[in-house]
Amino acid sequence: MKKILSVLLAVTLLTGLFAVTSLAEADGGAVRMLVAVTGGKDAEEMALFAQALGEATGLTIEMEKPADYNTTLMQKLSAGESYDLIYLNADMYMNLVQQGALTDLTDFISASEILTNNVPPSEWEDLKVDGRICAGFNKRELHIVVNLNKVMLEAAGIDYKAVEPTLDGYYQTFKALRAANGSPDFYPFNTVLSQNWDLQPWMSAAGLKGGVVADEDGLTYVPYATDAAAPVWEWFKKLYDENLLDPSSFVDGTGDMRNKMNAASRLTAVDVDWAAWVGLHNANAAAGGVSTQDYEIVSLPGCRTPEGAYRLRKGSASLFAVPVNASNVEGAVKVLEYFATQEGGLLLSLGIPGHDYTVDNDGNYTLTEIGASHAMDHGAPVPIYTGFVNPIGLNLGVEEALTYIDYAGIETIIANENDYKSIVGKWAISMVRGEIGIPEGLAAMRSELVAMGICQK
Amino acid sequence: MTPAGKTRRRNRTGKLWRRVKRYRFIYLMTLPVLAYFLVFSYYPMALGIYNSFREVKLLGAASFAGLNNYRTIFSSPVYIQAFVNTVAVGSGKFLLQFIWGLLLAVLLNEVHRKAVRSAFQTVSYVPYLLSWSVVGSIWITLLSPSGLVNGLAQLFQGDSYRKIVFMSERSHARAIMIFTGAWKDSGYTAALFLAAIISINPVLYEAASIDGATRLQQIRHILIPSIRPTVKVVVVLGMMGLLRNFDQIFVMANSSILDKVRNLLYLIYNEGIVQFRIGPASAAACVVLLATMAISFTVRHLIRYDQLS
Repeated sequence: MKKILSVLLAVTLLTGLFAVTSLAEADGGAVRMLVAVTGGKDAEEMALFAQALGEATGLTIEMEKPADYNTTLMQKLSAGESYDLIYLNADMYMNLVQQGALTDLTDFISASEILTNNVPPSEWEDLKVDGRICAGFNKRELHIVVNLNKVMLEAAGIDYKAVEPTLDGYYQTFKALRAANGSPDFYPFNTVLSQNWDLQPWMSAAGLKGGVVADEDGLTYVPYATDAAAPVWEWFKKLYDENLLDPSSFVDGTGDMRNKMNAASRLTAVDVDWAAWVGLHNANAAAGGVSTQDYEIVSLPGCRTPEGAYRLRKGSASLFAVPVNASNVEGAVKVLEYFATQEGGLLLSLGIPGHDYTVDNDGNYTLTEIGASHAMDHGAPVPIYTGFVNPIGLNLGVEEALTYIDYAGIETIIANENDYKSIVGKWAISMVRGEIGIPEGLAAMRSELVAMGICQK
Repeated sequence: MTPAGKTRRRNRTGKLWRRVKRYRFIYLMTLPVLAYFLVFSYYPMALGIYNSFREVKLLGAASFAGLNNYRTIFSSPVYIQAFVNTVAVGSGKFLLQFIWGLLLAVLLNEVHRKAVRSAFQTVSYVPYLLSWSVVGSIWITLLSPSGLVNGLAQLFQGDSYRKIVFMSERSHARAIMIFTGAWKDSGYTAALFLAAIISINPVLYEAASIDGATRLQQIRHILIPSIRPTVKVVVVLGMMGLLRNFDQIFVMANSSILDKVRNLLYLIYNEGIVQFRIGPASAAACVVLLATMAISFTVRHLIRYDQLS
C-alpha cells in the first residue's frame, strides 16, 4: 500500500513539475488573464481560445472567466493574486486608476507601432487620466442608433427614411404606429428609462450630451438635468400620457426591451440600441426562419441638434488593464497588440479557426454551426483595429447603422456612474409619470447629483 | 498565593489536562469544525473590523484611517436613508411573516386530512426553497403592466383602466418588498409553528372540550401558550435577520424606487464590490454586525429567551 502511495505521490509531483516546465517553455512566458466577455462560450472553448491566443502570440495564456466578475476581481486583487491582464469597463477603470492599482502603459503604448498605428488616437485620448493611459482595448465601441421595425412602419404608411428628425416628427410616427396596431400590449416606443443609457438620440434635439461635462469655468454639470433638457422630458411625458411609450420602460432592463423588439414578440416598433443590435435582431429573425418581408430592423440617427447635425454616444470603453502586481507586463502588452491586429480581431469576433470558422483554399471564410450560433462575438463584435475587415460580412442593417458613427462621441468616464444613472433615472421617471413638474424634477435631479458628488452645479 | 492555593490550582490544571488527554480524540474531531469557523467566519470578520479603520486599496499598502470611514458613513445621507429602509422593510417583513406564519400553522392544524394538510404545507413552503432571483422575477412579472395584477384590474374596470407600473410606484415600494418577503418566508415560519403545535398533548384539548371550550377558546388558551418557546425562537431568529436582507433588494429594486428600498447590505455591496471602496464598506459592515448583536441581545433579554420553557 505504501509503495502504491509513494508511486502516486511521485507521479503527482512529476506531473506538477512538467506543468510548470511547460509554462516556462513558451518564449514570452505566461500571461494570466481574468476576463469577463472575452473568449469562448464554455470551459472547453475557453481552453481552445487560450490555446489559439497563445499560439498566435508565443505566450502561454491562462484565462479565467468567472460568472460573477466584479466580485471575483475584487476578491482576487485584494487577496494579492497576480494577473497580467484584467478586463475592466470604464467606471471600474476610473476607480482602479484612482486607487493606483493599474500599471501606467503610456510608454509601452507610445513605443508600440501596432498600438499607435492600429488604434485611433482619439480612443487613447479618451482613456487618459492625468495624462496617463493605464489600459488597452478589448474592442471597438460602437454607438447607439434608433432601431425601427421597417415592416411595422410600412404597415402604418411610413417610409422610415422620411421620418422628420425632430421630436415632433417621431411623435407623429409613434401616433401612426399606434393607430395601425391596436393591440393593448403593443407600444410604439420603448426605452430603458431607469438606466437612461439610450436617451442621447432624443436629447440631441436640445443639443445636449449625456454624462457629466464641464462648463467654460471648469465646473462640472449634467446636461440632462439642466433646464435646456425640459422640452425633451416634456416630450417623454407626452408619449407616456398618450400611451405611445411603454410604461414598462420605468422598470424594464435592456434585455426586456430587446425581447419586445425582437421578431418573436414584436411588442414595440422603435427603441434605441447599439448599432450591432440592428444586425443581431435581423440575424436572429433569419435564424428563426422569419423573412425580411415580415420583420426587418433598420436604423436612424435620431433627432437633429439645433445646429442641424446629430448627436449620438459611443459605448463606455471595454478594456484590458495590467495590475501593478503583474509579473509579465511585456507579455500583457503583446496580447493587447495582438488584439489590435486583423488576426486578433478575427479571434475576438469570428472566434477560433477550425472551431468557429473555416477557410477554404480560395481564402473564403465560412462559419461552422458552432460559430454561427456564437453570432461572431467572442469578446469584440467589432475589434479595435481601425482597418479590420470582417471576411464573413456584416449582419443585415449594420452597415447602415455604422454610417452614423461620425455623429457619436464618448461620454466622460466617471467613477460613480451607477449613482449617476440611478439619480437621473429616478427623477426622469417621476417627471414622465407626472408625479413632479418638469422644472421641479430637474431642480431636484441637479440637487441630488451635486449632493452625491457627481457634479458641481 | 498561599501554598494551599497553589496546590489547589495545580490539582485543577492536572485534572483538566487529564480530562483533555482522556477525550483527546473527541477534541481532535472538533478541530476541523473549529478551523472552518476560524478560517471562514472569524478571520474575515476580524479582517473586516481591521479594514474598517484603514484606507484600503485593492492593491498596495493600506494606511491607518482612524475613524474616517465611520465618519464617512455616519455623515452620509445615503447611509442614513439605507439604515431607515433596512429597519422599515426588515421589521415590516418580520411582523407580517410572523402573523402570516402563525395563522397558516393554526389553519393547517385545523385540516384533519393528512394528505390535504401536507399539500397545503408543501405549497406554502416551496417559495422558501426558491432563490430570490426566481421569486423576484415571478413578482416583477406579476406586477408588470402586462402582468396578472394589471390584467385582473383591467378585466374588472374595462379598457378605461390605466395600467399601474407597481414596481416603479415609490409609495408602494416598501410595501411590495415587505409583502413579497413575507410571502416567500412565511411557509418556513409556519413549519416551525406547526411542529410546535402538533406536539401539544391532545389530552389538553379533550379536557377543554369536555369543559365546553370552543375551538377558538382552545386556540387562545391552549395552543398559543403552548407554543411560546417556539415563538421566542422565531422572534430571535427574525431579529437576527432583520438587517441582513440583500438578495431581494438586489433582484427587485430599480432606479425609480431604489432610495425607498436600498438597504445597508445593498449599499455595502455597491460600495465595496462595485466601486472598490473597501474601507467605508467594511465600516458599514461592522455597523450592521454591531447593530445585529445589539438587537439580538436586547430582544433575548426582553423576551427572556433563556427561559425557553
